[in-house]
Amino acid sequence: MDSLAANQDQILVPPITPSQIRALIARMDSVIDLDKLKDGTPFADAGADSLDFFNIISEIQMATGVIISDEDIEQVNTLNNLVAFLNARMS
Amino acid sequence: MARFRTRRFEPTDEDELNQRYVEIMRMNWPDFSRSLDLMRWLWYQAPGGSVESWVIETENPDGSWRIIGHHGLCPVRFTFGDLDLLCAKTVNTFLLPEFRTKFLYLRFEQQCLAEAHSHFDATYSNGPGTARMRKALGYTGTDAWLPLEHCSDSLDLATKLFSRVVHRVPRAPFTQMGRAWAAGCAMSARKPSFEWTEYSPEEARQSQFFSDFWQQARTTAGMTPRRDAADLAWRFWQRPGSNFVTLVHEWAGGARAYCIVDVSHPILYYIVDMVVTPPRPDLLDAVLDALFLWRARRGALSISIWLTSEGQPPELMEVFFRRMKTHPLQRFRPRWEVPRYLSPRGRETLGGSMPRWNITQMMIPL
Repeated sequence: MDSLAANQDQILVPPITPSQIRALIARMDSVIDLDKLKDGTPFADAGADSLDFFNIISEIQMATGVIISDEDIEQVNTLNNLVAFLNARMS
Repeated sequence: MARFRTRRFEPTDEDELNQRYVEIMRMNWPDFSRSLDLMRWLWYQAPGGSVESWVIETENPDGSWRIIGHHGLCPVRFTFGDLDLLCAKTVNTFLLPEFRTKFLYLRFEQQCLAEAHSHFDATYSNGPGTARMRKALGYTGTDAWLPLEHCSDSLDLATKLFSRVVHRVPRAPFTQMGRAWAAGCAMSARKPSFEWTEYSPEEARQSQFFSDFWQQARTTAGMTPRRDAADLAWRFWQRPGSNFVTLVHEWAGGARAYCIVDVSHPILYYIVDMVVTPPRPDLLDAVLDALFLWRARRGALSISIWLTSEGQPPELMEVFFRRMKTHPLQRFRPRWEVPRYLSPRGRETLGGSMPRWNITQMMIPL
């Protein structure tokens, strides 16, 4: 919750890039190994757990205003996929 | 792309939910089982009310839906001195592993909590490894489960090792040797200052002892589940498929104690509930003396209890630590925390602060 509150004023505008998302994750209290998190690496393969997924999605929703539904979660499993999804929704 | 929906549990889900829960529990405990009767007992018979329950479903290729996850809040009546509180324990919270990267369980749980938190003063979880995740939902607490065990006053470690051998090789000669060993432990045990009165579940439920016990004990018991006869009957005495013995004692001056012991396993016993009132170290010492001898005489090699690390007054914890042992590798084991969430209603009732909780863990998964 701390990380969410800390980033409430962080607004992302398109085009969103993987490095912006990576910077956002770096500020979170997460167990993700950022060295392993390449643009096409599934978050789970970089060590993300349920809390990390929840925090990433929550922060992204807050920063972009884009709602990521349960059906969309599978599509946003990497930085590249997440960025493509957000840019498509925000364009 | 998988499609999901979430909704409130309905009675027609009982069978499927129970089946799915058993499946997921068997991933860690291959022998785990739970009857539909027991599930219904837990869901509908608690004195605090029915379980608040939600399911997650995914759509099958043929258009039908199947349950893949669940969140439940089981009402448990608590007291804190004169205050009556209604708390809720998370029960049967799961998402099938193959959906854990496809569905945001925490968002679902957050929605469930938002829907139900006004019904409860607090919610808490006894499941292992959930504290980090639940902090994101507002759960707090540094308290952790502390397993303690007693095997023998003189040969504790040897008895412990032997009990594990008997446990793993449950054949008659080993069990008989275990009982003989326990009888030896009984001869060397400290002589207790009293003998327990032993009740069957039915006798306990109807006894005079429990008719007013909680009125006396609640004043000094801290924040803890209520122990009226109705609560104990639901948690233990009338629980389908259970095998509990209730031991009670009343001292001449009015002090009282009881223990409820799970005797399902012939060699390894578990204390599932225990209250000494007033909570004095000398009384607890006497209770443990009587309990250890009772256990050894019955032929069991070990008796265990799970306490929260901060739930008991320090002077009682000192007695537990002196008389019982933690696991030899406890310091290397991950901390099993007990996350708690104080709702706005509970904040108002308790004046904004979360008191220490005095709870014991039943080593039987709900």
